[in-house]
Amino acid sequence: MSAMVPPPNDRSAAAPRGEVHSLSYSRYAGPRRPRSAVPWVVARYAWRVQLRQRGVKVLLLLGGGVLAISGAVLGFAWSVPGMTGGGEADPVRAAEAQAIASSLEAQFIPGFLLVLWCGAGAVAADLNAGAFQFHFARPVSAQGYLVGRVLSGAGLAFALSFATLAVLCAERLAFGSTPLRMALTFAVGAALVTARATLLGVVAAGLSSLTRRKGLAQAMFAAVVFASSFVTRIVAAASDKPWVRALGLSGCVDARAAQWHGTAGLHGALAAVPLLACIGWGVVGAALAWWRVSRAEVMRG
Amino acid sequence: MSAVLAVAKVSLLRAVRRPSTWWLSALAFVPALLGGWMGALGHGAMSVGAPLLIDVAAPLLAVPWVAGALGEVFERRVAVYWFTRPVPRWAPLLGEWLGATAALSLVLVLGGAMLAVADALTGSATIGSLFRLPAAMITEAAALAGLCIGVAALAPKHPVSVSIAVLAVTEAALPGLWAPMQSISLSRQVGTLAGVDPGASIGSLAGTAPSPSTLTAALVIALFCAVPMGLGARAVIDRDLG
Amino acid sequence: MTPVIEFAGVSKWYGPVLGLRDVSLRLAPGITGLLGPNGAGKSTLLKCMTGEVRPSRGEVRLFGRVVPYDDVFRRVGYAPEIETFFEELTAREFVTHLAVLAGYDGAEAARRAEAVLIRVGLAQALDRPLATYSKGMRQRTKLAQAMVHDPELILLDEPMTGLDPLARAQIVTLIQSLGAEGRTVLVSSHILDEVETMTREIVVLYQGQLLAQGNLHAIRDLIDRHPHHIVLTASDPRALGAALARLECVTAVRFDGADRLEVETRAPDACYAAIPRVATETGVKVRSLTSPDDNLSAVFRYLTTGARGAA
Repeated sequence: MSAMVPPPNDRSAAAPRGEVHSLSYSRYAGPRRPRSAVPWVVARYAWRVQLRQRGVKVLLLLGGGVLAISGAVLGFAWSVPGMTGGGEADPVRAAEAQAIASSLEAQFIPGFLLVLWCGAGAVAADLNAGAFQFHFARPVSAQGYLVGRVLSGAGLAFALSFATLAVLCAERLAFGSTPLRMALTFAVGAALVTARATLLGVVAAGLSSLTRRKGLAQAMFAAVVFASSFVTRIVAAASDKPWVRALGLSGCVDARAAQWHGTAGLHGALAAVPLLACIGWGVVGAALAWWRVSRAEVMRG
Repeated sequence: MSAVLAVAKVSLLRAVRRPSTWWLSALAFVPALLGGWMGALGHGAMSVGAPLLIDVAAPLLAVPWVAGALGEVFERRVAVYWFTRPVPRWAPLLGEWLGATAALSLVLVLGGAMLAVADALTGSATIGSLFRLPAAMITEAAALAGLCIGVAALAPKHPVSVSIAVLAVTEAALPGLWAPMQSISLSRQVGTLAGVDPGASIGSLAGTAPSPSTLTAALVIALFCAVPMGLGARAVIDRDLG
Repeated sequence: MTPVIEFAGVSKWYGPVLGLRDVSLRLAPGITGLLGPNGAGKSTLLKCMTGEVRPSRGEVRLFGRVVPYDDVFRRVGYAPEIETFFEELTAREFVTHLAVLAGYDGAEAARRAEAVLIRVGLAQALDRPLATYSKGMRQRTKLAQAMVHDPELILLDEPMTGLDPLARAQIVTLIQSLGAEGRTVLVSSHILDEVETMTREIVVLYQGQLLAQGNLHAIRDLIDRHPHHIVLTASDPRALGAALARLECVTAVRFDGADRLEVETRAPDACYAAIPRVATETGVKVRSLTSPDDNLSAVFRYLTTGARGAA
């Protein structure tokens, strides 16, 4: 009798005569995704689920409406000479800064609501449903899972802001900005839009991992976003210290945008406050999420 | 009526026994602390604390407390225990509203009173302002409870996010776009009742609309409460629950 | 006499999914088992009675009146299949609260709640938060709240799910006592043995349709498409089998081991009557006579297999 051999992977090859194939278990020997693909797998699945939800569709519609209105209003303003940036030394630069500011500010509410809906309760829902064991019973690391959750939580909000930035930059090209300057504006805008979405996503994931109750996690996220913005704004106005505004979760990215435009009014050591605040929020959010998820009570191999 | 009171009593009891209630309640006292601190620095306790209490602390306290808790009752079908008793279906909602209003009022009135005292100690507050803010907080508690209960009945799967979305639209997005829309802002109307400058609370691109009268403010607050409650009651009466 | 429960041509769709299809039935007092595999429509049938869902077509009457109407719940107790309560409350507070909503004053509600909780076996845990309750204790609490207002009709949706054998036996005894008190009890389950221990009156649902209703034996008799099996242990099975095979009512005889034979018939009553006579004539000693078909599992298997075959 001939030797037992595992079944050939290539079924098109004709089996040699006189061989007996073992039908017992044989480990899959084909290609596998690298571990670095895990966040994309987690995020892609979440996006598919999110895009089926009515609430997400409504919010995307709202964001689309905001994009259309921003594009129309700014397009009209830029088409009329002297209507924007009249008081600025460089009206073209002012208009370019407006494109960035609009993609950040106009999409803030739709973007915040998308992160609230998609990201702020995601880890809490997984904790509550016991979904950790399904994730971590596979070769999925806590980091991979968390990056996937941040991507899925902030992805749609990022897409909205990025689309707005792209549309406004394209409009600026039509209204006299040079391609080189627009490329620089677009790059800076893209970095800021990415920073805003990432910070919202990381903080949402961090707060979401503190509780099993999705609603409570969402409320905590809203509290942190609004309270930090509100408190820093009021304290900055009352105490006449504009740098305090840059400490808020949304204020830190706005302040970085203003710094690029040269209107932040932060000089010397205070100029580092927006960047430090961005880093601080990111680190705190990531640390919260990491602390909780790495202590999840699941069987680890 | 006894059914409404019974549900209200149990609603209060459940709220008191939830650990999250206690630490959420701490949120109501942050404005007083911050206001007191800013007042001591000479910036006016009320101008800092009142908008924070009315615009941020009260809604963020009410949403998880009321919408989150009631949404869970609907989503997990626990509400079936109410709706298979010989009481009209709107009665448990009214009872929940009564209980939530009482609990929220208690916390917000205390927060408001602390802020008023901080204002009196650090500034030149009148005796009237000591009562005006706490009284306004009761109306805000009732309106927010109505909104949250209505949303929980209408969207039991996403009560918190939908409530926050509604508040983000009525309190920030629409008033920020067009000044006349500031009249639909609950915080602005409550600010009017409390005697707080609404300009301090709404960061409007479109300027500030003229301050509404007390009567208008009361009417808007009542509608803010009654419309979602009515829609929610209609949903539980007409809709399949299972 | 007005039936306690009456369904008239009731259909229910959940979007494109069919929950119930043209169900018409009438139930009288006593215990009735509501049977069907998962997804058969048992819970939908119960929810139609409690007004949780409204029929898409047809009407449901309880005590002669079309539901939903609020006042019917004075006479109806319902234990849903959900496992959650107001978790912050104790069992005493929870059941008292629901008794108050049923119309009793506070003191009477508290007295009734305590009595009914003791009756279902929760005397030791009256004042423990429901969040700390085990699955069995939750089932008992659900029963207690369904009984607290002394209803004439009690609807129990899967009341034995997750219970250990001892707890099951206690709950079965409790349900039997409710039936013996003259109440109408409708118990849904997909575990046939537990229903069989409670009642012989059944309603069988399959894929949203009413497949059978009535007494278990009567239903069995109606299933003439399926042969009935009788198992005998006898001193000389071959002689007995040969004699039985000559009977017109017997369609087949099989031998199983040294002392067992299995008789297949399409006329069970005639066959049961003939067996003692044949045994006497042949002088074979019959030690036992059983039918593997004369239980709910077999009836259910026949019914659902038939329905699937028809579909």
